[in-house]
Amino acid sequence: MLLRARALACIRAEKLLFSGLSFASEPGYAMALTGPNGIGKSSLLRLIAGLLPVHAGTVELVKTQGARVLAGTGCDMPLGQYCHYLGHRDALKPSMSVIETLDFWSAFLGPLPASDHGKTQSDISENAEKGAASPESPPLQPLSLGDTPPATPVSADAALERVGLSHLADLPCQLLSAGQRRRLTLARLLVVARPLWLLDEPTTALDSAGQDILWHLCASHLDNGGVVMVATHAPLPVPNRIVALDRVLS
Amino acid sequence: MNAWFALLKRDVMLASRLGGGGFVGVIFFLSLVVLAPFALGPDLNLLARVGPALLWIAALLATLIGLDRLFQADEEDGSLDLMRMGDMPMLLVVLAKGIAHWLTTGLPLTLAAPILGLLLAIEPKVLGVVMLSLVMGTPALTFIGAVGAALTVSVRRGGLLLAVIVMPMMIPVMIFGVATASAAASDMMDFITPLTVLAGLSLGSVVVASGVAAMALSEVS
Repeated sequence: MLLRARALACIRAEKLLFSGLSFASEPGYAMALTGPNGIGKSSLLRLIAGLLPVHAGTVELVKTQGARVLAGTGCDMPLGQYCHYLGHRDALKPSMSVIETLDFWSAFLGPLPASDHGKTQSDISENAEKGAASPESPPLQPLSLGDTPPATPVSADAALERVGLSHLADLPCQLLSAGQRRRLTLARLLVVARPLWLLDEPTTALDSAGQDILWHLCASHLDNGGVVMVATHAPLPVPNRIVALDRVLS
Repeated sequence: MNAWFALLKRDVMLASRLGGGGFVGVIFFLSLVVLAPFALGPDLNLLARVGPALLWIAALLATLIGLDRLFQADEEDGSLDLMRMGDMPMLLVVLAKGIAHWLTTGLPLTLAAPILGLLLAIEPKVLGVVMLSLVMGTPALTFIGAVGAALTVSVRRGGLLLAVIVMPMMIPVMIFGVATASAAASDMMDFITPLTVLAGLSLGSVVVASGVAAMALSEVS
């Protein structure tokens, strides 16, 4: 599975943020989206998620085997249904408990669109071979405990255990700290299976243990053939390719 | 379908919990109607005559109270973004949220009406019809209001703007709601006719207004 963009352009508030942006993900590598503040990193992620209109160009999620376009501007299936978008706003309700939040989102977002079933397995084996062939920066060892491929959603309890929140399952979200809220949004990545993760500065408010969990999740998602795109200002501890947004004088 | 019920359940749950804003409308409705006899004086005939209209005005205002948060709360915390990305059509999202709003505002308000009817010296027979008209009419108020809520979703303090936008559209509902009650009070006319129109208005606005609100909400910018 790979994410491919050609000649993307985005306009916000009648101002051209970027244009002619092309990139493609590489199996097993995260995409690190870098660039100065206000250059359009978050806008690019929102554009891919379908939350901003695409002014020009195409962005597609392509199945590696057979090069079949699964979703994107090239076909009827919107990309949003294949994405997890983890932005600055965490979509947590103050009066809902941790477990209720997860249960709701897993019921609401549900499984992947039907056309996707049964093909992740081939992607997994394909990417495993490629991972072994790339010598530079060996991939992070996935957590041995309860490691699950991205195509199979895990139960809410297991997800909470994975992000270290199981002791807070019944606590209303308003009592969580900023870092705990962030961990809860990470748990949402697990209870709902989506091949493409769009993470907008995901380390915000996370302690070092939380960041470890985040990068382990990303590493195992990549290992399983998923695609991860991270807007970040710090180097990523997972194998990655950099997509740099920069001001170009035209 | 499971996803739709999950959303309905979540919204009812959020509204009924502390800070959710549900049932505040009902309390507002109660206090408005309780104030009326003090303002109008203890003239029982006058109260009986204006009572149904008072109940309807109070119902309209009480419905408006929670409407500005109908979509805005989800827009502010990013939930609406996730809903836009999911595969459920926005129309069904609006439908679920509208029904949840009605279940926590319109329905309890209708159930509270008989108690208040006594306070306004409305006859039991008329009171039954007023309740019926409220059950039939309040869905229209909620869903017409949903259009305004969708249009003002990104406007801070959009509550007043919302009221200004939707109140003119609520006039027909108001007319036929009160007409139903006065027809029942006068014995001269059949109250079935205005009641049917009211039901039609509700059904129509559920369909049309959900579509319009969904269009406004799916517009990404």
